Amino acid sequence: MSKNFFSTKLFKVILVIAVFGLLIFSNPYNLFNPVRSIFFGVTYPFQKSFYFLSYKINRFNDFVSSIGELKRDNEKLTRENQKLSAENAMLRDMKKENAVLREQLDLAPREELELRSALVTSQDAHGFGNWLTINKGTRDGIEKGMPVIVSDGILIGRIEEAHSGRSKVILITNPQSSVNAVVSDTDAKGIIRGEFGLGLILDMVLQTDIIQEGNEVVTSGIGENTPRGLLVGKIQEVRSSEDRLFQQAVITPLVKFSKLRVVFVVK
Amino acid sequence: MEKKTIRTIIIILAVLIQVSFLAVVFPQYNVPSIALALVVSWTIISGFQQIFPWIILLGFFLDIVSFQTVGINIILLVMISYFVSFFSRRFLLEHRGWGTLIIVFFIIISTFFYYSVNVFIADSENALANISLGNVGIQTIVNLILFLIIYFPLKKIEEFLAFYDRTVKIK
Repeated sequence: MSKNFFSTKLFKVILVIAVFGLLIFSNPYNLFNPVRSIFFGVTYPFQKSFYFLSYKINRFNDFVSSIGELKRDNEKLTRENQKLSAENAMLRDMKKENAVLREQLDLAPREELELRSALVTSQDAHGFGNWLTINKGTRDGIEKGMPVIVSDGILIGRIEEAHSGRSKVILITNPQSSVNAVVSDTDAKGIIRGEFGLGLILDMVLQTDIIQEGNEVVTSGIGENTPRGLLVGKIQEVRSSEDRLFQQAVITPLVKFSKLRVVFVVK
Repeated sequence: MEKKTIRTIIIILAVLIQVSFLAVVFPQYNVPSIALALVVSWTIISGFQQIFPWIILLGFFLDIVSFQTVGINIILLVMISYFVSFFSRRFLLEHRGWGTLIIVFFIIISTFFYYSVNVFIADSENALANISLGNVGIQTIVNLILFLIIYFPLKKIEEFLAFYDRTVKIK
């Protein structure tokens, strides 16, 4: 090969593909963790500022687009408020009864969640809604696998990577995410998977189980770090799986992930 | 030294704006790619040979910040830059009237390539079903707008840096 070939653009492209292709293939993922930690540490003030600005712009956009719907929303919320007040009163009663029965049967108290609050600092760069990063990490006691919720006890994801001052949260809408779940009204069990473009699917529900539109889906707490009873979403549509062996349901998430600012890590 | 500092700052700002601003403000699946717009602009303005190491740095930081395996964005952005350079030297210089159309062509092809590969990485099992022409179309339009926003200021910056370099050498 002539000497000139080594100074051509094509050679440089081939070299980059070869070197970095080898790097991707060998996948020394943890090799660059110190670089990540340093980069996030140095750029945190800028990330926080950009995120805060984008959050404000989002809020303004929402306000402008919702002006026409304010009256309708107001009426709907008033009705829902009344319904929830009634439900609340009934639940307070049931809580008292539950406490009495537990004491009588000497049962352990329901788990209290230990929460650590964190600010969201960035989101999936490609806009697929697969992950976000928070400003807490290993030095704050955050570990891989810990579930992440918002204040109402709604599950949004789990910690996939924890660095010293930053952690990556894989959202439940990520195709690589799966959570054991149960339909709260009917006890039908299934697995919630993220699906590209659709959001959430409740899969592997037995054909004999009953699931309906409007049912709430919560975590079942089976076999993983995720505690029982965290709300995931409401069933929007029920259908059969492609092989017709199971039922599936499309779940509407209760949270708009792009508008998150504060989340809580369950320790 | 100033050239290196300014280019590094541009790269870091671009990466931070991508993950902490654009990804939040724009709706899901329609987030413009500032890295893509920067690569296309820089390649047209300064040429592949000069900008090549900076594209590697841009891809590296993007991989770091988006928690991807280091190398993915580097390879994608270098390939896009080579593609733009290959055709721009032949068309933009020789057929000036077609310049705008050629740039639109670059953005369309680059967007489709970049988006498709990232969809494949995000969900390889259903990649073909998930590549929506509607989303690619909207992404192309927002990338084109972003390219126009970036291209002219970047050209001014590069002209200033080139002038500054010449002034320093004369001294």
